[in-house]
Amino acid sequence: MKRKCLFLLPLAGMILFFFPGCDKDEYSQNTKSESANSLVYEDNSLLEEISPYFYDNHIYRIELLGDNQERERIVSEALLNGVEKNFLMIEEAQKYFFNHTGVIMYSIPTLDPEQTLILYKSSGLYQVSMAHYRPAEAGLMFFELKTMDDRNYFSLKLDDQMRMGELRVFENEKIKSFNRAVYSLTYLEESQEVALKGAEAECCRKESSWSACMNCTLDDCGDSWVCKAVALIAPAELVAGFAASCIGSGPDSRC
Amino acid sequence: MITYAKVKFWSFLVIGVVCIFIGAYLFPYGPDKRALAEFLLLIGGAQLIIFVVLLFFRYRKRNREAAQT
Repeated sequence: MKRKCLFLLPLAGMILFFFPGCDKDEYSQNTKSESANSLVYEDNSLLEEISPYFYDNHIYRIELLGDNQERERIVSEALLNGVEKNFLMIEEAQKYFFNHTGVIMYSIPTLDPEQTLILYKSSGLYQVSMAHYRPAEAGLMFFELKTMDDRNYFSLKLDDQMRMGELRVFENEKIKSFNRAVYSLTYLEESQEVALKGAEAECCRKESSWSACMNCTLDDCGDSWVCKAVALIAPAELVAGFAASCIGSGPDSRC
Repeated sequence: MITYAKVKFWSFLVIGVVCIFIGAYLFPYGPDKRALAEFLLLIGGAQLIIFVVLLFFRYRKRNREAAQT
């Protein structure tokens, strides 16, 4: 009886373990297909040749946001900025990728056909603004982008061939502070990278060969007064230690 | 006592050389181990200096004794 129990218990455990596991897999696959973003437009050739002109097309990919965390996040950012959820046509939210900047742009159409909510995302920060698009004189269309405090950021006019004109850029404190925040974050990341590279470079065992490692170590030794003093007292022992340490040096060596 | 003094005397040389070798070995391992490497080099250098000073006094004494006889 005891022996039977010993066999049955692990078997029961395995059944319990595997069956909910299968359900979970199926469930996660379903939710994945429901929530994934769908591709609307993609032109990878734009990634290879980036036009230096501001007016040229820089959008190389557009996605329609699925019902996922990314969409929830941008909606919550919009709500935090005073936009009403009912005003947004969330199912039509799109994500834009540019070839000349790492900034991501989201656009969410609203119930007002002349207004579209625009969110810029950079370094995990969001800037929420409202784009206004309405007919102007002589068949032109007037486009302006305002921050949520109803201050202008820029405005321009478009003709029927989508050519831009009368571009005006305004002083906007919100955009400025967003730029400053992004800049400081980017600068922080870059400076950390530089520090890391510097630290890696100082490890002479990462040099490509034994002789390069020796040269690097001797250079480092010249910067340290302790090392220089010891080189006067016991040069042979010092060089022997360096030589032994540099054996096996290379890019994959441990520092 | 003489044996102890002899051991102590030669230990300055041995410990000094060993500390310098280990310090030099750790030196190319980068800034993380630089402090330890420099500390060992300093200790080793100090031990060798003590050894050399003691060696100097020892041979000076021997030279004097040889000169008197």
